[in-house]
Amino acid sequence: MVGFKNRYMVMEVLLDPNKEISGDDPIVVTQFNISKAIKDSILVNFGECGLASSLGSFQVKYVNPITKLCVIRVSRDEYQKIWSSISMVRRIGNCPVLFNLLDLSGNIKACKTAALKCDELKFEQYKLMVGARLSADVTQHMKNCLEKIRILEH
Amino acid sequence: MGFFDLNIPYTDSTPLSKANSTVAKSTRIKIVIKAMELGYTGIAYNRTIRGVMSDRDRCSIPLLGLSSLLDVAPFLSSSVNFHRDLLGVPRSSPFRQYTRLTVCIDTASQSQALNSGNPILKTYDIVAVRPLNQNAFDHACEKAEVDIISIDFSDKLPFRLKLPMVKAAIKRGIYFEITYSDLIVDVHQRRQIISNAKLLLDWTQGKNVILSSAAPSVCEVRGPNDVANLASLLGLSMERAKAAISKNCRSLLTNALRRKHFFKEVIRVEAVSSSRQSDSEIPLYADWLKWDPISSGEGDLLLDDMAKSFSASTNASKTVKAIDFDSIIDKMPSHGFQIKDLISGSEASFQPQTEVKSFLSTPQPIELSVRTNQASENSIRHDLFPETDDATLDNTCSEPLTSAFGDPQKLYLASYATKTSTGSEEVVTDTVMTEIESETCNASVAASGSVEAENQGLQSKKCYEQNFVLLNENVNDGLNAVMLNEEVISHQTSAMDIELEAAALEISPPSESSRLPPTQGREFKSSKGSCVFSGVETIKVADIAVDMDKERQETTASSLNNMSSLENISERMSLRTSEDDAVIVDQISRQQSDDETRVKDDSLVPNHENQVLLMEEPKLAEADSSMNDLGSVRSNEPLHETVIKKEPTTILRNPFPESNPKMKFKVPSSTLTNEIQEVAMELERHGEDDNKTNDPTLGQRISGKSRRRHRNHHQAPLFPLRRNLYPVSFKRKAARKSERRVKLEEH
Repeated sequence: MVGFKNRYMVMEVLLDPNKEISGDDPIVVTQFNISKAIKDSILVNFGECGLASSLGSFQVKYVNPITKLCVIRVSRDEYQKIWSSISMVRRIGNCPVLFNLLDLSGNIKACKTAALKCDELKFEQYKLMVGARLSADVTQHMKNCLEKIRILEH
Repeated sequence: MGFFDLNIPYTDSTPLSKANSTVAKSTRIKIVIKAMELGYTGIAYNRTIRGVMSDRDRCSIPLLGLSSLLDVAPFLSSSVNFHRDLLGVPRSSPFRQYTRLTVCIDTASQSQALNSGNPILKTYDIVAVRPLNQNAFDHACEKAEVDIISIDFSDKLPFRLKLPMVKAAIKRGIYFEITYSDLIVDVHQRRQIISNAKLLLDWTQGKNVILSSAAPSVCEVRGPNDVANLASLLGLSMERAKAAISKNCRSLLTNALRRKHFFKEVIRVEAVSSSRQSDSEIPLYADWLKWDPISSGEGDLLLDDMAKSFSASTNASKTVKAIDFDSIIDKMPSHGFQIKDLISGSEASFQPQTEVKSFLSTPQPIELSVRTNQASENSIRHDLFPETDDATLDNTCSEPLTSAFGDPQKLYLASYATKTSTGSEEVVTDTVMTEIESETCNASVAASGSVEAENQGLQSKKCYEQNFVLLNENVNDGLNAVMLNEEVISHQTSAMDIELEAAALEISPPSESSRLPPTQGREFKSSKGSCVFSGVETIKVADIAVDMDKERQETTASSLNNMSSLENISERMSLRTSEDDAVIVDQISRQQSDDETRVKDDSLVPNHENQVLLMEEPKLAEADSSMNDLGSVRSNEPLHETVIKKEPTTILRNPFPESNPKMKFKVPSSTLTNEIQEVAMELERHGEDDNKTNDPTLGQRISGKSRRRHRNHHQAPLFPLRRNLYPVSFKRKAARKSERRVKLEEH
């Protein structure tokens, strides 16, 4: 019935693991630069054809720059390859990064619940780390992001 | 099931500049933190050396403590908990650190060093070999006593992988390691690794393969799921890949730690700490449940303490170190021991070690870490006592098992070793459970050890005679001796204030019926202990003079009796039924050499054709799951499957139903010969003891079949496998009904 079979991956991006915990981000993760980094990785590892066959359904659906959470949609046939390419991403721009999969699901609904849960938990951790420097902007921004998750569509 | 990363490179701490070492240390800390955050439950620091080992190569890797980690990442706990919940790892399982050595092997002479006698290797938890040429690879697969074969796939392989070699290595229980960080780091190496490792994975199908990072820095570590997915690039299915970083690692660690801590892979001797246990109500085997088979004794970080201020972590450990047998064995006298050495108690201290001392010249304290909040983590110590010798058996192998007695804090020793001897003897060793209570924490550590036969290995050593000699050859005077010795034994034990007993039950065929009654109803009140045995017939022959045998016989008989009385009386006896026990005892007495026994310790008994009666692991599995870990002696492959959380107890658990029928069958046919040793069967069910209340029938044990028959009919549930005893060829209902009726009638 459903024409496109997809997998939705909830991943967290760990920026610059070498750096000491200081609270400032070297770069801001956006949909664009994550998508670019992953496509480059697919090109290197799987070549032109690999990139072309995965490009159809590949999309970075949601990124939260505060908690570094992202939701990526890939087609079901290619998800393992794309997942390995994502694991092999070493840097975004100049910043060394580390991708870690948190959840993998087959439909958008399950993905939304998982993403909401992970996002909230990660925000708690962020608040712990930042401590007193938490500003209202950030909280507002966070609320917007959570809203965005809720209106995600396939 | 936890995830492990068993290859975190560690560089020597002798760098030229101080800056290097601090950088290296901080890198290490960061990697460890990242691994913890990503959800790993265990890591191993890997040190690589090349060439010949020297004494300088002893393990000197400092394990990181929780405080140093928290200095760098103060909010570690929330992140760790978050990831662990996602992965399904329990929050409270400790984060384990191990030490590992990788030896690069070029020549045959270097490969000779990789044997179990090498003391330097013993200082590391895990030993890996990296062969650099074909000969080295062949030798590593077939003969080297290592845990891991680590091949560097990132360049063109200098040798060929051959399927028979790979199969031989798998059969011996060696794991192959594939490192994934090179996949991430370098594009060209990616090509080589995938093409080289694919061959290995096609052949093994992921069996006996572990995945690990050899991450040079923290950017190359990946989470467990990601690693499993990378392995799918190499041709593994996702399920096998996940097993490669969890289950395979865990069984590797179990084996490796067993090799390290257990003498001849079977016995572990620990000193008991000296705090007294006044409360004998705690079930004997409560601690055995908490045995932690993959604990390395130190280096386990309790993450629950992170929320509090480290105070919790400090009161937990009471470390008891395993006694290093190799150093001790060499000092043992050639003629073995006699009971009087022990009884005399001339040593002033209470430590049983001093008494048994002649071979324990310098027992090293055993370190046992006890955790307060973890239900599951306690290390287990096993005690093993050496075996009897049978003077009449000429061709017997002597299998001395050294048993050490620690300070009785609360010491329950059950040691069990089975040995096979050439010829028709069977070696029985009892398992002695040692239980140690830590003063600080409530959790008491119970150790159950059962030792399987160690024929081969021990043969090479001198035979030692321990004071609890198990075997009695000619049992005619067994009973009397038993009676006599009971007092001696009790006196001895009380004098020594030791609660451990090691005894092998001996069975004298003629006196079987009379043997048990006198021991019945006898409350053996040793100071604290109760001994549990898992009965097995053992035949142990040592080359000892006959007169010594006699002495031993008496003492062992007494000890046996004690054991049996204890067994009878103790509520913790794990006997399922007293009847069974009696029956088994009966059987054993008649047992012929053709009783089947399965030697648990495969590697140790390759050549002995003797039968050893072993408690089978499958039986263990069927036994209480809660008490799965009896002792750790050896677990075979099937054992692993049956283990849910903890390692199953070892062989010593006598599988009642299984052995019973066998023995029964043999009874009529077997004929006693002088060479047949009495087999003492003490059955113990650790798990059962722990969980069940006393078997009310225990007190009424009467030897022999008569009793059993008498009680049989209303004890049907106790003989679940009775059908094995009286096999019915047809399954028709009518036949079965009539057969059942007949059976009932005859009883």
